[in-house]
Formats: sequence, C-alpha cells, structure tokens
Amino acid sequence: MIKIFCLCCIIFVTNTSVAFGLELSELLVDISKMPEKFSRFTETRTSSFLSKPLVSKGNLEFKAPAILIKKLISPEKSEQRINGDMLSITNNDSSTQTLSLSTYPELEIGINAIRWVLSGDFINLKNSFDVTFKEYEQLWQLHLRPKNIDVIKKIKNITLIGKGAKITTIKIEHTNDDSVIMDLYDHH
Amino acid sequence: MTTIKNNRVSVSILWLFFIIASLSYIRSNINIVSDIQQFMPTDSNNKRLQVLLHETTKGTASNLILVQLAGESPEYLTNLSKQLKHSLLLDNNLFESISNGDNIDNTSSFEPLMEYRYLLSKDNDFSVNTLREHFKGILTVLRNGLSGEMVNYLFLDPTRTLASYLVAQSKQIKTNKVNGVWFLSEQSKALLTIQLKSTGFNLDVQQASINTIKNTFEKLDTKNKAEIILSGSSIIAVAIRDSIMETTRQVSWVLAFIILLLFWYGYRSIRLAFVASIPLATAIVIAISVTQLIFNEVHGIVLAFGITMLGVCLDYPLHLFSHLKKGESTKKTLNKIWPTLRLGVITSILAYIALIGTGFSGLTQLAVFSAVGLLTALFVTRWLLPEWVDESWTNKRQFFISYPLRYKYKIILSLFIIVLPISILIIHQDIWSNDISQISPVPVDLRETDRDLRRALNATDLNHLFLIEGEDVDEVLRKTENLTSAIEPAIKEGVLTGTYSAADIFPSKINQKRTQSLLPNKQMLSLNVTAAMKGLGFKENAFDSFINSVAKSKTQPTVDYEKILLSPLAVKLKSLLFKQDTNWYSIIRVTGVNDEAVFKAWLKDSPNIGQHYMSIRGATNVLMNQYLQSAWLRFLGVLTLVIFIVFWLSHRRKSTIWLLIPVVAGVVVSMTVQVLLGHLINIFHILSLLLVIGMGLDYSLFFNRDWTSVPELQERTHAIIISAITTMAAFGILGLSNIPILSAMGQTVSVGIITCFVIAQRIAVPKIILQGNK
Repeated sequence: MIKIFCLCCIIFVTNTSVAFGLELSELLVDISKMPEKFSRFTETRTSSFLSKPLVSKGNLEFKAPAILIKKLISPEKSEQRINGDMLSITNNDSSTQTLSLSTYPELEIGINAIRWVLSGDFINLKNSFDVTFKEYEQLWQLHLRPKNIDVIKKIKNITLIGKGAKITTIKIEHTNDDSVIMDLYDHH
Repeated sequence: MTTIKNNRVSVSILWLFFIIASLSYIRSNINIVSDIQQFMPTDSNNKRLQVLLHETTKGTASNLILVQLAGESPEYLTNLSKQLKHSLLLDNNLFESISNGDNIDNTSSFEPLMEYRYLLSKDNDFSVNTLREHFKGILTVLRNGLSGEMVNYLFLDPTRTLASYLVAQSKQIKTNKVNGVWFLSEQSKALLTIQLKSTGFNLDVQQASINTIKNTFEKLDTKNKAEIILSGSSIIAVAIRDSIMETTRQVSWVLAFIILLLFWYGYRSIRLAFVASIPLATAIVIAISVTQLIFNEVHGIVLAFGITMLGVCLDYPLHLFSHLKKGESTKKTLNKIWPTLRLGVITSILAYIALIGTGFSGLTQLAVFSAVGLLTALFVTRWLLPEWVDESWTNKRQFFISYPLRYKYKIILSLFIIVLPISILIIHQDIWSNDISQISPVPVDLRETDRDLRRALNATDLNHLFLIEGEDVDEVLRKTENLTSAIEPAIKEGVLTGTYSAADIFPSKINQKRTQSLLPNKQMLSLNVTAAMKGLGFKENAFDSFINSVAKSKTQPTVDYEKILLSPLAVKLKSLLFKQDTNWYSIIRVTGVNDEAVFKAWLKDSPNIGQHYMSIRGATNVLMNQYLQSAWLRFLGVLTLVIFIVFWLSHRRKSTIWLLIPVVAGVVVSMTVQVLLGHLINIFHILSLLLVIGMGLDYSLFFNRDWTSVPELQERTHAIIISAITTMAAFGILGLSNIPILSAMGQTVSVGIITCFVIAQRIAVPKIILQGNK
C-alpha cells in the first residue's frame, strides 16, 4: 500500500514538473519569436529614503540576445545601454559612466531576469532562480526567486506579469522593502 | 707498481671527499643573487640615485607585471580582462592586487578609507547649492535603476567624496578605456597590471606566479585565439634565467661535442677528454664553495662570468697531454712544463686579485671566485692528474705547424696589429657606453615590450622626478607638500603639466587637521542639508548617516600610513613613499615636460626646487661614465701588473716584450672589432678582456718556451690549437646570444683569443736549440 502511495507521489510530482516546464518553455518560445522588441514604460520606484514614489517614463528596447536599452524621457533624459556584461549610463549632460554588471550582482540579476525572459532562455532562468509560473484568465505571472545566497540577501523577488507573448509588468522587490514596478505598454 | 696504485687510490679518495663535501655545502647553503647594483660602485656619493635604483630593482615596482591581451575583438578581450582579474584575485597567496581600469567601480575594496574620506579629500564643499546638486544627482541615479548597496552608499556619501578622491588617484593613467577596461589606443590590446606579493626576488616564486597567470588565461580563453604578453622586472628576470640556462645548455652540448671530437682526433683518446674536465669541474665546485663561504652569497653574474673565465683551466691538462711522450713519466713531463704553467696561472691570479678592493662588491666576488678556481685547477693538474694519467694513454696526431716569422716581419706585424686598432679606436672618439641598459642582461625585444607597456600605463617613468628625504612619514609628507606648492607656478607657466606624489594619496597631519577644522559642525550641516533637500521628495532623515559621518570626521584622529596600506592604494603609496634603512623617501612624479631645455632652465633658476630634482637616466649616465673610467683604469692597472710580473718572473727579460705583444694585440683588436660592429664598450667587455689577458698570456708563454726539436714545437702547438678551437667555439656561440652580457662576452673573448693565438705563434721568440738539422 505504502509502495503504491510512493509510486503515485513520484508519478504526480514528475507529471507536474513536466507539465509546468512545458508551459513556461512554450511561453518563452512565443516571447522570443520577436528578436527585437520595443515598448513604452512608466516606472514607479519606492525607497526607504524617499517620502513619495519616484515616477519616470521612457522607452525600453531589446535586441536579442543581450542588448537592453532603457531610455528615460521624463522627468529628465538619460539612457542606459546594457550589452553583455557592460552597463553604460549616459546622463542628461551627456556624461557617460560604464559599469561592469558582474561587480553589482543585485543589479545584474534583475537585468538578466528580463533579458532571459525576452530571449526565451529557459535554462539560465532555471539555473539562477526558483521559478513559479501561474496562469489565470488571460494573464500569466512568472515569479522568480534568486538562488544565489548573496543576491537573495538583497533581492527578495522578481515578478513578471504578461498577457500572451507580451510582458505588461516587471516588479522587483528588495529585502529592505524598496521596490521598482515597471508597467509596459504600446508594445511593437 | 703497487705504490703507484695505492697513491692513485688515496688521491682519488681525497679528491672525492673534497668534491662531495663541497657539493653538500653548496647544496645546503647556496644563495644566488642577481642584483645588478653589486656591479655598481658601492662607494658612490650619489646616495639618492642608489635609493631610487634600489626602489626600482627591489621595491614595489620590481613585483609589478604588465599584461597585454591581444588577438581578439575588443568585446572578447574586455571580458577576458575582467575574468582574468576576477580569477587571479581568488589566489590570495600570489597576487597583491590586479588593476585593469575598472577597480574604482568596486568601492567596497576601499572600505578602510571610507571613514577618513573627509580628511583625505582636499575640496569639501557642503554649501546648500552644492548639496542640492548632489541630491538631484541621487534622484537621477535612482531613476537609472541603480539599487541596493550603491544607493545606500550614495546616501552615506552624497557628495561622492570617496569616489572623487579615488578618481583623482588614477588621474596619471591616461590609458584609453573600452567598456570600462584599459586598452592601448588602437583598441586591439587590453592592458592589466598585476602586483605580485613580495617575493624577495625569489625567481621560483615569480615563476610560479607567471605560470598561474598563463594557465588561468589559457583556461579562460575559450576561443584559443587570444594571446597574452607579459612584461615587468620579474618576467624579465625569469626570461633571462631561462635564456641563460638555454644558452648555457647549448654551449655545453656543442662544447662537449667539440671537445670529444678534438680529443678523438688530436689525442686519439676519448678517455683523456673526461680526465681533462676534472681540473675545470673541481675548480668550479671549490670556487663556488669558497665564494659562498666568504660572501654568504654568489652573484648570478659572478657564477656565469666566473665559470666562463675558468674555461682557461681546460688548457692546463691540454698542455700536459700534448707534452706527454712514450717512455717519459707523466710526472716528469709535468715537471718540464711546470715553470711556464705556474707563471701563467700566478700572473692571472695576481691580476684577478687586483680587482679586490675596487669598490665594486660584484667584482671583488668575481676576483675571489676566479683566483680560487685557477689555483684549484693548477693544484689538481700539478698534483692529482699525474696520479691518474698514464703516458701511454696519448697517441697524438700531429697538426700543421707554422714557424715564427723572421725578426723584421715580427716588428712589422706587431706594429700593424697594435697601431691600426688603436688608430681606429682613437678615430671613434665616443666608444664608451654610459647607458645602463647596455649592461642590463635584458634582451632588446623584451626591453622594448616593457617600455611600450610602461608608456601606455604610465607605470614608472623615472626620467624626471623629485626625491625628498626625511626621518619619518609626516616630515617627508610635509616637505613633499611644500615642494609641490613651490612647483605649482611652473605648472601655470606651462613648464610642466602636473605632479603626482604620495601627498595626493595621503596628506600630512597638518593638512589633514586644516581640512578637519574647515568641516562644518553638525548643526550647521543639518541646516544646509534640510535646505538643500527641500521639494526633492527625500525623507527627513534620509541623510542622517551622512551628517553623522561628517560630524565624526570633525573629531576623529588623523589617518596614518598603515591605514592606507589596508586599501588597494597600498601598492601605489608604497612606490611613492617608502622607507630604506632608517630614512623615509618620497617621490614627486612629473608629467607633461615637453621642452626639456625650458624645464632644465627653470630648475636652474629655482635652486631650492632643483636640489631635489633627479633624473635616473641622467644620473646613471654620469655614474656609468665614472664607473667605466674607474673600471678601465683598473683594467690598465691589471695589464701593467701582468707586464711587471711577467718581466719579473720571466727568465729571459730581454724578450718579455714579445710575450706581451700578443696579449695587448688581443685586447685592442677585440675592442676595435666591437667598435666596428657598432657596439659601445661596457663593463662586461672590460671584464671579458681579463680572460683574453689570461689566455693570451698562457699561449704566449708556451709559444715562447725554449724548444729543442720540431716535435717539441709540435707538442705545444698541439695543445694551444685544441685550447683555441674549444675556446673559440664556446665563445663564438655565446657571441650570437640575444642577451647583451653574453654576446659582449662571447664576441670579445673569441676575437681576442684568435688574435692572441695567431700573433703569439707568429712573433714568438723561443730559444731554439736544435739537436740535428735545422
């Protein structure tokens, strides 16, 4: 009896993960079908240092597999260009600063999560995060919890919400209760 | 017969005992050093130059490795540079620090300096307007998505005082950056600097570090197309050791082959070749032991040069073997040639002893090494070889001999062979090399790679600098600050573009206290912060940690030298501010001297500044001139001594001149050939000439021995031909080496020896007592 129960458990667990893996991977394949993506965004940032949320607007552009460009339009112009491991920030005054993402793991993990989803890189996602995938009505939610011990001290969760092959919201929650919510629209 | 056998056994046991004892001593005590300063005058008045040379050859700079990555796209090389830095830093045992241009991004490594940032920075501005601009900048950073520790850091240091301080520390490196890492201007080569942990100039540790760098690079270079080029003192030292070992190995093999061939042909005996090597091998072992015993170390150059000079010891058994004849015991043959052999060796030993007390510790070591070696070889040849060698072992093949010229032709040849080279030397007025790089054992290509990388990274350009001395760190820092201030007007006038010193990293106590007194008190800063953050959306207490930090800085003790050493700036600070013996020294580096004449004129007009000025290139050139002059005078002294000794000990004083002409000819001809080849004469040429004197005199003495029959002349010609061929072969190969010291030595000796041989044979004046037909 016990043996049968164990066997059922194994079959149940195996079937679940296979089913889950297939659904997410299918979604990622759909998302990655467009090698270049563009959308507008509104970003709302809360911080323990701020008395009110910081809101900014701009465009987000992605070129598979690793180029991500975030252009701020208001309240002031700036551009972040991420290519591979390098992050270049060009400010309103045209000054440019270049950083290596690997030097800032908490920044790197957030950017990689977005890049891997957009490029359909299921393997890297599974390797770096505990992945929870849910679907309800027409929406889906991808919940990513970092596996790296050092990163998890700083980043609590990364959540991506979408509809079909489009991502509509990216939410990054820090362990100190700071958060960033980016709403994406006008996809093309 | 039994007595002979017993003697042979006891002599062999005694010899074996000494060899084993010496080898055991060498094995457990040998300390080989490679400090070129030992071949520089120790009694030089230029103490300040010695301080700088010591710092560049043994200080922090000596453990710096310069790295070039090439052969791939800039993106690939950028990643490789970062991965290499990251991987090597995991190996804490070998590497002190690694820089590739992106180190300032990582502020966490500068944590030890964080609490002192307001004392280290010279420009603290906490006015409302300035603070407000910084606060707005924080909002921009937040919008750009930076988070976590970086944001926390910005609220702790909103004026970015530490970051600005660190940027100022890298201002002297003007290297291009691609994706945040250093690149050469054409973007084809990424650059890194790797500071090894202090190795005490241990070449094995340096070799291990170099291997680790190369192996790590190979693992990371997944495409296998990139290449790594390393440079720096330690790389050069290891490369030289490898190159010297390789050259020595080649020479040894070729020499061994030639010796075996010559013994097989000349003596029809291979066995004698092995016996002939016994005096030389014994001489080397005993010379190393005695030198180590007396000096507690053996210099690498002494070892290489000394062993080469002891090559003359191979001639002693050759003379014996060539004079052996059937029916005459070995001892009897040796007794016959003993006075000539002894005269040659004693003359050489006395000549070497004359080098002692020259003020060059390296030369003193070389003198002891050579004198002990020669004496040992003479002893072995005189008292041991006859016990081992039987006269029946040799069956000489006679060589072609040429007889001495007639008297008038001797005079013509002598005049020609001495006057012509001397005339050429006089015409080429500037024949002396005062460039210290010429006595460096570094091959030219390695030197050029190193120079290019140093130029690109501005690693250590010691051509123009100011050196300040003091009893403690703070005194030196104060003097450095004062001198830097005195130089400032010249920067405004465009004589130079800037200076860089330890005071930029680490102000003196008095300046730190002045900076401290100008910091606002807590109440005033709180008011300024409140006014500056108005309407920007920050919480009221957002900058409390910043206010507290400034308040703490207002009362904290000043920063000391050791604190800075805990940060990645340690390497830079140690190269600019260091202690030698009991004194502290500080170097002010100068940038942008475009017009040397204007710069020199300014120094002349500013004696208070000029007294601290140093140019290593200029000072070493002056020193090398003095050194060469002194070494040359010493060499002439040795030559005079040899002449005097030969004159004094020779049994036919009237013909002494004919003994000496070949020696003088060997010296002047080999010098002339070097000059005609476009080389300038350096200290190693002069040392090589000592060997020419020793061997030339040996040939001359034997060619001038009285002979009673043509076979007797053939015997001595036989020995000298074999000696000359082996010497020529060994030094000829050395002459082709790409290591300046070895090529100088090889070319000088081979040309000198062939000249001595030919001239000694053609102008010899032996007393000919023929018993039979002439």
